[in-house]
Amino acid sequence: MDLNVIWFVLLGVLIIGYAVLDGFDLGIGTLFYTLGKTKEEKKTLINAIGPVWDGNEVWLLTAGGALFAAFPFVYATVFSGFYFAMLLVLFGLIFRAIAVEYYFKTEDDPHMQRLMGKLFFIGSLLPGLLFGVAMGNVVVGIPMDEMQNYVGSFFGLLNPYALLLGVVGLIGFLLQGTAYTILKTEGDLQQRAIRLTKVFSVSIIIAWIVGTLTAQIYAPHMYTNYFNYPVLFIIPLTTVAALIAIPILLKIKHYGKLFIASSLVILTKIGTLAAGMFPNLVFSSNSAPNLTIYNASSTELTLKVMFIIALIGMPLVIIYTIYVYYVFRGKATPERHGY
Amino acid sequence: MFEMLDLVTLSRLQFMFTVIVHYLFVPLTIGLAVLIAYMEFKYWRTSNPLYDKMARFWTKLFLVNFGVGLATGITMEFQFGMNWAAYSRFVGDIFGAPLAAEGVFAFFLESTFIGLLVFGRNKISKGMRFFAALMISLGTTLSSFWIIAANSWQHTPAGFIINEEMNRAEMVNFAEAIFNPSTMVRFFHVLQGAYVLTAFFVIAISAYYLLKKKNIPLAKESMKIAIVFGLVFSITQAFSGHSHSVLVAETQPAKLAAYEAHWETESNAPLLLFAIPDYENETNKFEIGIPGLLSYLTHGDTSEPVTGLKEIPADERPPILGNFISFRIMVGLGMVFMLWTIYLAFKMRRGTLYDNTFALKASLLLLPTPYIANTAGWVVAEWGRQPWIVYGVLRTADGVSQLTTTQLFISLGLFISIYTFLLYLMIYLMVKEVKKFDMDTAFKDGKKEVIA
Repeated sequence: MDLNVIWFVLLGVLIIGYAVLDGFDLGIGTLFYTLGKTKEEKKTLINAIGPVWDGNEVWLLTAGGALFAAFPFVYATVFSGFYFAMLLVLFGLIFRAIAVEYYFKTEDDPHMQRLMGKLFFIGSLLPGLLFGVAMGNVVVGIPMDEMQNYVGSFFGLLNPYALLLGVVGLIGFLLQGTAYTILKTEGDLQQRAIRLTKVFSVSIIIAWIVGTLTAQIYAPHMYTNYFNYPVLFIIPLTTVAALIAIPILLKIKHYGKLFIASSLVILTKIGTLAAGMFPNLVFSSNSAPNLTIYNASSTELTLKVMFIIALIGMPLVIIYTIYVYYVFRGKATPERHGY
Repeated sequence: MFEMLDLVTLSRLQFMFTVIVHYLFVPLTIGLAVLIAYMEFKYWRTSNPLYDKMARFWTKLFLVNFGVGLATGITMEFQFGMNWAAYSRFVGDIFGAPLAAEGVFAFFLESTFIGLLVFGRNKISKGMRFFAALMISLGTTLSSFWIIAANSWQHTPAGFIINEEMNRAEMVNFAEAIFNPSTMVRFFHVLQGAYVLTAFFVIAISAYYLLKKKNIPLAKESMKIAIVFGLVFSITQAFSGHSHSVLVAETQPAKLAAYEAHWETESNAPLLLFAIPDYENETNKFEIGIPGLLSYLTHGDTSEPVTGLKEIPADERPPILGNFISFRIMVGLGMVFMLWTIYLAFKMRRGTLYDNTFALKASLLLLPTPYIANTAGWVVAEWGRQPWIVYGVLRTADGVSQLTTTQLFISLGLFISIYTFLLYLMIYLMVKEVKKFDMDTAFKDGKKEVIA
């Protein structure tokens, strides 16, 4: 295995780490009004993610940094090409950060607090939807010039397959959000999350099937690896298994396992796409060559240095992240935490 | 007027605007994290409840500041790819690594432990609280290290070769690229700038309470710590600033010449106090200076020549007047900080500070000045590097993304409106938190914790 392949995998790990962890933050934010009917419930939801959302978001920042360092040509093409989409993701993340940090601080000003609630919702929905749309475009292929600049329009990004992937991604985050809410809350709030989990697990199956079928029309190249290496079908089959397990785990009230199952759905959904794309990172829809892990990468030295950084840093990150989740185990409450 | 605003200008304006706003929040995060860790340490070792309240009060303000700092920080990472794609492709092999390292070594650390300190206060021990605060300040310090390393590489690039075929810079020595000639000097300069700003912030708010006769024990103790902190670092900053200038003279002569509006390469070069540059005739229309001082400051010898702007090709000269003025604002304010903290320390020793209305009022009024100085410092650093985005290697104009000016007008407009709202929100919350805080009623831990 060469370093380019290692970085393809590590980038996948960072993106999956982000989608699994911040996925529940985005899901809870998007369902802020659907789950949180009373003031107390809304506060409980904020407290459920309060201690961890910031650390979760760092997975995205690190994935962005790693993409810049390992595959700078992909970073440059995607971020400049999807200019307005990236801008909306960015504003979404800004709104979300402000909303979560300041929700309790604006408590004595109901006007302002309501605004924070709205920012939380919109700031979660925008990234939650657009990550999938961006992924969809990378998969379908984008038109590029000889300098690898995106030459399509903003509306060109809103093609059917990309939009569908946006919806699949969003439902995945919603499912992750309700699964986490079930773990962290009690009473009415928890019951509401249980009902929604059922809805999302069914709708994600439908969206997933539609997505897989339409990929044959819009992105037939995504099947090549699967037919060459049928063992890869294990990945989407795991998605199916996890989706089947969800209603069962709900019924027997194994909520910890339920969260693992919904995390597996996200993990394998991204895994399925990654396996289909390898070794490409961005497909081209015109005569320009695809961006691959070889023609878009940094030099071997940089990849090696970065690999050493990851080997030293990531185990530490994982250890203290687990410690913090351990400290905050148990149910969230609506009280303000001293600040 | 709009014809002037071409793609490059608009991209630069957007970067300048977003980075200046972002950096209004960064220094306080860096400096206050250190002071909070110190207060948590004192509380852990002495169990004196005053330190508990101090640590928690300043953490409150830290969080208001951190929220916006975090939000505006995400922009910076996105923007290299969004608006500077050609630059990103050219330098990705070198510039990306420190950004990724910042994520792995710094962001995870600070954000995870902030969650722990803030939400876990009643779940962890005093020692663990100190440890969490220490990790936050380690995180913010490491974060600035990696960013300064990346930025310094733009000023004094090292450890790389140019691959003509790929049209990019390629790393050949990681240590040389990271510890390039200006990294450490600039890292300390930035840290000290942040510490001085923090000292003035803490002094100003403590002065406000002393003037209002509120929260007096907390204000006195905080002020004492901040004065010592500010005194030490405003003095060391003078030395750091000086050695930085000497380095700039050596590595980026065009930059120093622009700071000093210095045209002729000559010995006994004067240090100008005022100057109006005359670009056409390549001289100053008017100047007042101290003969020989620039030569002396740069080389320690008045007879040594200092490179003048005339020696630099006209299309490689940085803007002069803006740099000249900003540099004087930075240095001038630096001297004010030093003198003011010496004055405060003197009054404090005499025991006449806490009821000296003049000293307290002036301290409050001085609050904006370190923000201006920090901003001026970044302005001269980045403006003085122009027209290069990587000094001597890549021009700024060659680094932009191929976007349309319409795209830029829209995004810049959105940034300005959203950031204005963020600034308003941050100041509103900061003022509210400071005004309503009452150390006698706040932080009464109980089962149901309700804080006014």
